[in-house]
Amino acid sequence: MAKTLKIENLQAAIGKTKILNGVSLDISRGEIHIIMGQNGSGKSTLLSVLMGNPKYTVTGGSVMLDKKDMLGLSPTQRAQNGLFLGFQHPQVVTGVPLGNFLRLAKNTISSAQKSKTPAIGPAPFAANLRAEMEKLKIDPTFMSRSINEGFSGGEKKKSEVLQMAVLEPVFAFLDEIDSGLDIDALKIVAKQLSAVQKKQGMGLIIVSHNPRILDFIKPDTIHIMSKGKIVARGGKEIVKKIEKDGFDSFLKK
Amino acid sequence: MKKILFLDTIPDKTIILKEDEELLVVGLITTGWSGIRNLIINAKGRGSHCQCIFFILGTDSSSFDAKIQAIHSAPKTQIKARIRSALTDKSSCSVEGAWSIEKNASGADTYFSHHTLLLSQGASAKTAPFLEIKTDDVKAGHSASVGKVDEDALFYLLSRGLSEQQARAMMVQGFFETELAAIDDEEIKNKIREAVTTFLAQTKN
Amino acid sequence: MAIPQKTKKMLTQTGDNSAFSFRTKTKSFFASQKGLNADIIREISRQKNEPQWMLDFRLHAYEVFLGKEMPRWGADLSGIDFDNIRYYVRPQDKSKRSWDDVPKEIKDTFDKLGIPEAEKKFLAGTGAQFESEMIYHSLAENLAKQGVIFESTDDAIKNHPELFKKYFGTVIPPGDNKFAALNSAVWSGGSFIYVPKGVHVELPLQAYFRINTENMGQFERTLIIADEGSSVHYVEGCTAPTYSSDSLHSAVVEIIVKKGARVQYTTIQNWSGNVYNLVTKRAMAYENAEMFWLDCNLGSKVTMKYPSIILRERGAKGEIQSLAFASKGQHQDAGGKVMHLAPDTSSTIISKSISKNGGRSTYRGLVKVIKGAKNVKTRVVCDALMLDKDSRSDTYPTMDIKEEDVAIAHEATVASIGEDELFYLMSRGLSEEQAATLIVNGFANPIIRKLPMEYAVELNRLLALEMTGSVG
Repeated sequence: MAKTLKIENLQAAIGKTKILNGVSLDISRGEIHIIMGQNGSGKSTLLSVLMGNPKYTVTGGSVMLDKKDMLGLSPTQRAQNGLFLGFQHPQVVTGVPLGNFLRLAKNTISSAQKSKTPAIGPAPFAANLRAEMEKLKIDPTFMSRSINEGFSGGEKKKSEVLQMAVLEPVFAFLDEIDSGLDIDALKIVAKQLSAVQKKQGMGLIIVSHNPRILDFIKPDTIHIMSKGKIVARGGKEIVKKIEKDGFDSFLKK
Repeated sequence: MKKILFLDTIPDKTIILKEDEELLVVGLITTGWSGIRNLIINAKGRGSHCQCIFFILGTDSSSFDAKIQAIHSAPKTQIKARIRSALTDKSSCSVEGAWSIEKNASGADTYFSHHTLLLSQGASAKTAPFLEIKTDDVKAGHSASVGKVDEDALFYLLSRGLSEQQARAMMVQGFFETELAAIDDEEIKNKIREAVTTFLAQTKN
Repeated sequence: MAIPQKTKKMLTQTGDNSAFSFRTKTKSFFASQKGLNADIIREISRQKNEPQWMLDFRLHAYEVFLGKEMPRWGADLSGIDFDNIRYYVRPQDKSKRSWDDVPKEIKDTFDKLGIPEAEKKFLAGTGAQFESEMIYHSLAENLAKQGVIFESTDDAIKNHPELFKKYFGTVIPPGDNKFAALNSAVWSGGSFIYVPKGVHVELPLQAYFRINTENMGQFERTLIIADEGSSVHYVEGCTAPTYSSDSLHSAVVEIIVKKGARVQYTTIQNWSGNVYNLVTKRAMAYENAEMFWLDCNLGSKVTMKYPSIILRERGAKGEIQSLAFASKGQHQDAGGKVMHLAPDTSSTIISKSISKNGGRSTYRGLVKVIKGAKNVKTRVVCDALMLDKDSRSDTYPTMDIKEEDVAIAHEATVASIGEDELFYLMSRGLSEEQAATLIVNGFANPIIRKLPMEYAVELNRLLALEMTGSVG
């Protein structure tokens, strides 16, 4: 299983507009990193680019999973290599039941990774899924609902964490996982997120623009992004500075 | 009691609905035809309801050209049609929906939708949902769309490890699955699902 | 500025279109007899002092007109008697540049319209049509300095012959339809606008129309060319007196929007209820150009008008917003057409129609995407509001798509004013009529708020007037 993800001087644009202007970040399995910054700083774009969203063009830099180049791989291949993206605005895919879809994805990833576990049948998978849903307090009937159809904002976020728990990635990127969640839901999601992360030894990159997330998730490193670059990084001392002076204090140079 | 009429094409036919009659017409259409077919549904009986759900799967150079006329000529009638077509190779589908609500058809509740997925360079579609309304106490609407598989939704599925072929297949199946909920008959539903699977196997992608 | 205070007051008092139903006795210097033939066309061209190529164009168009059949679809045009129409009247010899030179009785007409003098600081320039000729026209100084041309079409053919000939008839050729052919044969008046590269005309350019002689036909021809990177907004608001015999208004508007340019063309049409208003309007949009038709149809006996946009090159955008109100004896047959001939183009069509008292509102639209026009996005919304059971609403949209890499969506709804909504508003103290008016205004609002403010205010009031006595 891969141990490190190295992002070096990553640059990307959408159409003619440059959004990432040289982002560098190293993360190892088992670590939790949080990226914060104001809206428009490029945080969400970074995660989309890591997952290979064709809307964006990479104009420079590299992303290496151990010694493997990720930028040359399709989104499918990146998922099969153990990367996962929790979307900021999870897509509604009408007519495709959540349970069926997850089972197919799980089995596809397992076989790509040449895992020794045989493909999971529908019944045992459903039982496992129900258990995971219970942990996140998601209504079990959602299993047979179309992906994200009729889900509230908070339910969509929970569904992303559910998918992460089921697919067991090595490195997961969660985009604004806390937005749309009330305090109780946030507590549940954070608790489950930590549990899964510990159990699987995942590396997590969480993006947020709201400092309150730091009440629920204790990161190893905090990065501050502005105008497509990381302008500061550190540990707890950064938290205190945000609380005292806000994001702006990092932008004055 | 709802009667179900299961068709494998859009026929040249006139259906006249009697008072309080309820009819469900399901079409699973995989073979095209030349010329234009004319299907007329006339809700002459007070309180009659008709629902049409058509699934069109186009391959090779098949052409599906039809005019569906829905006439509401009595009070409290309903004619609702929902058509979904998935077209690949050089197939084409053209549907004109000629919906009319006459002066004496108050309380009419009517709907027409035609959604098309274009899955290849050579496929094409034409849709013309016409509506003529001559009285005000009605509920009427129509909607139509033509396009390829939604790129954002596709990326979402790919990012979960599905191959492009698997993801597209899922989306096409999902595209048809949304209309199946209105059909009570399991046997018919399964026939439709199987036909979609066969269709996808034939699609090069 | 639409119609200033004095006139607005008149309108409120009389409560109907008859505020404008007056005639001025004019000495027509040349009034053509009724009916049409090649000799009359030659005379029109001679009176206008036109170059030979224009006369040839007219005569050819006349042949086309005779050869074409009346359209077999659309509104009922059987009431048009082509032989009973005067095709050209010109009240004075030349188009003047200064207000002082305009004949008194014509000035009186403008007074009644509430325009004591058309040259105001905040108006970029005003052209006014009177009996088929641009009588008065002037350009604000800074526009002239920027190289913007805003003249009557009759003057433009003489003052800018190369520019004129290069574009005239290129967007709508005579063979396009019977009424375009008629216009091409007998056109007179209209506006010619040319905006040079990179110039942005800040204030809307406006024009007024009037039909003033019994059985008068209006055949104005407008040509707008926005050169690369420029922008302009043209507003057309018109009114006509009420007569016993029918009038025919058959205009042609051609617009060319070059690379990166933007044109908005706003129309508020409130012809009196005896007018047949058959208009052909089309714009050609080039690379990254934007064309916006804002079309409000309130008057006339019959209107057939489908502003269209041809998105010829990559990145072009088109928008058509159409509001139609059909009351007793009226048929508004309107809509829009967009042709996607290039990739990365997008379009929006929004149509709102209201029908009451047996009026008939029709939406007719076409979205066409040719093969190779990849990444096209289109959205069409057509909503209809029917105010009583005598009214009629039709929707005839067509989507003809030959390219797979597209996203085309269309929605339509038809509704009447809900009992629940009415009750809710009435329970807050409004009368039934006030409540219905609020609902109708709310329905039309998304389009009305795109109008220049003075027009929006006037249009809301006109709608409210239409609603008087409409409930119960």
